[in-house]
Amino acid sequence: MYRILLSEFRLQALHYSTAIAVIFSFLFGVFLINNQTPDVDIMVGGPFFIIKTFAVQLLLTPGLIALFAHRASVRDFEHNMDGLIYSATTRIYTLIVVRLFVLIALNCFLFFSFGLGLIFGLANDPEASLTLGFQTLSWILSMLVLPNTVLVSTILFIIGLRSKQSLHIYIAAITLFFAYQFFLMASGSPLMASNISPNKELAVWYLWLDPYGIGLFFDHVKEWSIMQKNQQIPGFSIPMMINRLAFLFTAGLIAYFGIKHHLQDQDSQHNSAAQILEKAKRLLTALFTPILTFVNWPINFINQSLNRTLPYSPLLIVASMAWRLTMKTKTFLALSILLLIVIISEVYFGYTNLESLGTQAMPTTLITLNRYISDILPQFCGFFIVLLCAELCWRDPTSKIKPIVDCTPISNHTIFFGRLLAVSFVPILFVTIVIAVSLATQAAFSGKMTLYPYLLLYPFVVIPLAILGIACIVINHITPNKYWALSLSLLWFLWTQSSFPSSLGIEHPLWTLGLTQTFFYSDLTAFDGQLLLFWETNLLRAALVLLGCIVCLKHSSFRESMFRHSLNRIPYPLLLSIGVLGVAGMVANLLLQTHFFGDYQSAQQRHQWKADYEIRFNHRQNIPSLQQRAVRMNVDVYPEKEKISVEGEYYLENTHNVAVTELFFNTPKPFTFKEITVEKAQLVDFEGKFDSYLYRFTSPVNPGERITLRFKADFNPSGYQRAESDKIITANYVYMRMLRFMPWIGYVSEYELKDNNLRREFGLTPTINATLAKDLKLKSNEIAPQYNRVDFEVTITTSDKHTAFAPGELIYQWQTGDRRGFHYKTRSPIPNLIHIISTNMPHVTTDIDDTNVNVLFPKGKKAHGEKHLEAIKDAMAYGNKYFGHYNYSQFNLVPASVAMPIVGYALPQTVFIGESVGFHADLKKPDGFDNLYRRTVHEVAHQWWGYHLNIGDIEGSGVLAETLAKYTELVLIRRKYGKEYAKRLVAYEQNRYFQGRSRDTVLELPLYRADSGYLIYSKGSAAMHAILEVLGEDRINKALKSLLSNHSTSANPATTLDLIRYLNEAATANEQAVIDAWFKGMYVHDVAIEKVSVTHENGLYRASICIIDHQKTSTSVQLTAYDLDENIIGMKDIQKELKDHTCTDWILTSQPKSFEIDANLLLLDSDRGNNVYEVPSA
Amino acid sequence: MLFISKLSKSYSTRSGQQIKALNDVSLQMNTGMFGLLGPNGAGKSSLMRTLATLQSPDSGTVLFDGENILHHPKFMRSKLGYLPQDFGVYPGVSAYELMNYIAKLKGMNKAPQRHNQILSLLEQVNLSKHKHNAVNRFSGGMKQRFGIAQALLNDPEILIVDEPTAGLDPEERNRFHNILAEISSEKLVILSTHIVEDISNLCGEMAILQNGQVIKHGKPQQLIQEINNKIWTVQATEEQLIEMGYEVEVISQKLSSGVMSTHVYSDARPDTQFIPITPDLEDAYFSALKKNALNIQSIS
Repeated sequence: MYRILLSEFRLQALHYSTAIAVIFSFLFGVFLINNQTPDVDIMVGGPFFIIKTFAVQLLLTPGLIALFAHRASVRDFEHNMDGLIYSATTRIYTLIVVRLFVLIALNCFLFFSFGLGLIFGLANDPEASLTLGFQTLSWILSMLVLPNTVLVSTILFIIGLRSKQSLHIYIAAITLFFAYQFFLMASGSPLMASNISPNKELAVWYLWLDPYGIGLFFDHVKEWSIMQKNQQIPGFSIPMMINRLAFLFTAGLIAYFGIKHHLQDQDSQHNSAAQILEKAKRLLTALFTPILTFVNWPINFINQSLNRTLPYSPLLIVASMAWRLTMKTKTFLALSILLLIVIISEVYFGYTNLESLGTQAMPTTLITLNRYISDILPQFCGFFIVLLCAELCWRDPTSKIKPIVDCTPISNHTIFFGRLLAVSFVPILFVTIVIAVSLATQAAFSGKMTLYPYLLLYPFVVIPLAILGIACIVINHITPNKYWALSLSLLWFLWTQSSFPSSLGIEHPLWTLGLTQTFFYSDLTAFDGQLLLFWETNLLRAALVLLGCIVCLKHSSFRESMFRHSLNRIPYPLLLSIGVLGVAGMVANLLLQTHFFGDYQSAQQRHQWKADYEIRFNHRQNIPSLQQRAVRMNVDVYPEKEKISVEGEYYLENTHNVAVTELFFNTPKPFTFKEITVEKAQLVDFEGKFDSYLYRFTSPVNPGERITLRFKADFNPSGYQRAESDKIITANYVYMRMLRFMPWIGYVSEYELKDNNLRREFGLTPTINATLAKDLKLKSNEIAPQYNRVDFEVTITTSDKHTAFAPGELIYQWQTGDRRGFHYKTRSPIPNLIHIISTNMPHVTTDIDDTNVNVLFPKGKKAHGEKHLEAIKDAMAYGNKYFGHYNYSQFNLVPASVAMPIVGYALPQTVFIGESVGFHADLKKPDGFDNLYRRTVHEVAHQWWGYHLNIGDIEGSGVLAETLAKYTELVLIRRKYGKEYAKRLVAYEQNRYFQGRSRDTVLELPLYRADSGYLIYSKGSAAMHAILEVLGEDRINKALKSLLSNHSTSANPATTLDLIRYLNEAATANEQAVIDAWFKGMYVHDVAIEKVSVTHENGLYRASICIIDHQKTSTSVQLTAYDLDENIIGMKDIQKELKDHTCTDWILTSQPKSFEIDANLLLLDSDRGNNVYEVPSA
Repeated sequence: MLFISKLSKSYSTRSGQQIKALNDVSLQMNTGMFGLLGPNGAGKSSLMRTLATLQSPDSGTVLFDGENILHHPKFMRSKLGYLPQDFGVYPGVSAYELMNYIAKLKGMNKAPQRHNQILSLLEQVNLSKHKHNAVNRFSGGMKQRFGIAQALLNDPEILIVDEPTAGLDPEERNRFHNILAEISSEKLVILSTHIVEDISNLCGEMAILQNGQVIKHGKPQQLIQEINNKIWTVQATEEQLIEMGYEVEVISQKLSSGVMSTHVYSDARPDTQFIPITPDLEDAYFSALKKNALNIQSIS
């Protein structure tokens, strides 16, 4: 036995690829641990971080195992050794089991090597405990790696054994990889950026059924504090143990039956099991044959027609044979069916899960297209191309027909380019399938179909994939064997499709050869704004591929003398010139588009620039500077040319008590400033690196005195510009937040690096990490520069097809030739977040009190526009009534293109709503949550909680903006849809809080000091709901109005302590405890009903209810009883101090069917699954 | 018609050792069947692959119809039919389809002409009944017949068949011989084999290769004639002969009806136990190999 084991180890493991994999795993571990984002409170050496890092790598398990599984399971068949091996005296069952064992052991060792790399990487970290590291590694190996490796290895091994083809192992590995990603999305895993949880109950099942156990790990640690995450190993929870053992058992069953059937097949074709299998095969073949015939029929027809009509073309002969052979395979059929399933499910989830709360989308082209344009299509099709290229290029040698083909007079070029043609056809076919399926799905959902955007898929998907195909063909021609070729092709593919390059510090999209993740279709802007990157990227890819082709022509060993004689006919200087031109073009392209000659900065460069800026100009923050009081601008927008010219004037005032002698300011890119003049001042210093100017006044500017800064600037970007949340310039849509791009007066503290680890890295002293109270004293009178209020007046000229919007009141508009003009002026000063919008979108308009409200919408979405208008009316009416009158004369709601990273965003007078969430919800399906209303009222609420309220530039400022906007959103939804409906939102926010908590790496702070999104939005929403239940709407609104009226000027900015003070003033002592607990405490609860017994006496029902407090953190809980019709028959507060177990008796007049604890969602309960107790029927 | 002059080809082993697969091979071949005979590793397949333009030699020239095919491989390929020693086919592709594909690759651009020739060739090799069946499911003999049919596509002037009868049963072998004999009446057919009987049955001219060199070249009868009256047989093994003190040149041993007989080469009868026999091509082949081996030994 041990000899078999040893020889199997020798055959499977003693191979250079194993050594490479082990070394690579180790180095990758070291690399990962040494290249972490420093912005964390989670210790890199802590168990949570190590396990999370490991969990991400486990996603690659199928791919890794596939590399070795073929050697373990199909080597006999691929080398025609099966006859020899299976007739040997060794018990074949033992041999196969040993092979599987070795495969598992080998892969476990690879993960062990990766883990060792992680721990080795920690060796230089003084805070890391190696003991803890090894303990964590042991946990990972036993709980994650071993069961996963056993399961995946067994599946792939058995697939190999049964199919006898390594290709099937790879396909299975790819399928597992995608299936598990889909599973993670469905289970709401924090590992995935986007989730598609269909419902909560299913998500719980998903957790239990998680074959990798990753979901259970995150679920287990979701209640953990940062301290626990850094120091505690998860342990062996019962659900996890059951899950792991269940999957080990499953693997055992798969292995047992897989091997048994395989051996039965080998032994005899006549035993009963083999006959059943044979029948199954025949049945499957019978099922597939019509499909194959159906697929083949048009191909044969086209082929025959081409034969008859087209002139003889060797290129087409090679290509068509390649295709016919590919399409004949069941593998191709299986992949095509898989593609169909993926597309249909993607589109289905796109329609049914517009947002996590269950809003349904209209079956629009935008929703359909963006579900797969950036993700599924390139990845799926790309993988297929990589596999197909390997198959195409190595098909002749593998099937041993190569000598026959090679000695035909067909030229080498024909074979090479015929293969290219065949591969280029793949994306065309897949895109066609995708379009057909999408249109059919849209039709099935009764959607409005627009074909043109789909047709854009042909250039935008086919071109990069065709280039990928050519690259793969080249790689296959210059590599010595199929496995090298496949590995290199996959590497190229992963490089172009994943974010792996940026983890290596190669950040610019061009260097990564185009991350298609950023490629979106917008109803507003189509693909505008992304096309430069697209074309540049693909030019670069094409240049690289051209070079590859030249190398291939010169060095291909695919056919003896493959191109050698042809090369002799091509003048070498010509060939060299092509190569040099390709390289020169590529280099020039890179230089122009990246940071060498372009404006683009890598993250490292940006950090360095900021650090240098701070070091260079930090002293200026203590020098009194003039402050903007008014801004006047003439902005000429040329949307078609994507150009903007600005002439501006700043009226600057000395608001200090001392005279000011200098004016320091910066002019940020991508504007080029042509003329800058400062009244009564001379330029004394200009630093090009920082675009910083220093003017000295000829005579000091006295307190209260004003001077004027005038400038002219052109939008003149150099290199690739991505659409941002504060800028997009396309033919249909121009938006720019002007302050971001016009001169910044004084020292810009926003440039400072905020993260202390980064500050240390760039030689800066860490910022003070003081308590809030201390910070409050230090900074309570400061507000962020953008909240400085100014008078604003702007004249915008734009295309005659556009309408321009800007803060203020529209004074007048005009048209001259093909230009339209708009003049806006504010009635009173507004926060300096001044911005301009020029767009050809239609809009609906109305007046609410004395405010002119405009809602812009994409063409054909008027119903959505009107729906937004209703929401705005509600929100404005509520705000005007309870918080104070809206300050401005105009209000605009503008859709944000999907190219901009905006879901909802508020500026003074203007709010942006992402076009996909705001204008694609299906208004005819009221079952889903009304997210459109929710988003709009939230953003409108920011006009008070953000722009009326003056918020101090201090920790907790996000609570004043977001938590109070969430409160407004909550009460408006309660008013419109009722309390029970609004509870869905609260439950959703509580769930998001726990999700955020489990994935967050920053130390959790009490709500009043918080800045993290999951706290200020989700916990904030839950907090305001609980306080609303206690205080009631009136008392809260009065407190908030007081907050607003006392902190509406920059002289007295508000803090969260002010908010708590006003709320407390409106509350009793007990209620104040609730407010303090939510804002200042950090409690997570887990209360459950342990058991209930009900007795029937004298027409009454006596319920004895025992509750348990797992966290021992709750002081009062609410019990609710439901009758048989699920109506509430009683509510009861248990106010006493809770111990582990508390039992109470309750007399009810109706028969209770169930009891629920904390039905009103007043606690942050980490496990709501145990809050309901169904009373067993008698 | 085909002139091979000083053709050499070396391969490197993994250890860096150079192995000469072809060493100054020079041959001249005319219409008819030309047999290449030699033991495994003699260089037959290397020579065939070189002639089929599948590999380039290190040195030497190969002239076909006056063209150097090493510089103009396409010229050779346009006139060539090649049946490799071990060839495969695409899975699931029918005989007709595959023939059609290869015919197109061979430049047969007229569909009717192509169709007719495919049917005729399949008929010739007795596969017309199986033309719509997948070739990968054919038996060994059927596959070899398909091989010869595809090699004959586009009416090649030169046909190279590398070990075509290896693994065939006697019936298939006979059938194959008949097909080759029929073809060779008009074309140059180069048949590579280590089965002497194939050569003696089919070839008008032959060469024996060993260690990459041509050690004999001529008509089979001529080679047999050279050893006439020089081959003797004795009922004993080589070891027994040595024990008995005979110093004879053993060229082959054969077990016939349970009795081991040894053929020896000798100008004169070594002893009375040795019976003279009429030599055949196998004796000529083995004696040539033996002599060459002895020559190499004596040189070294």
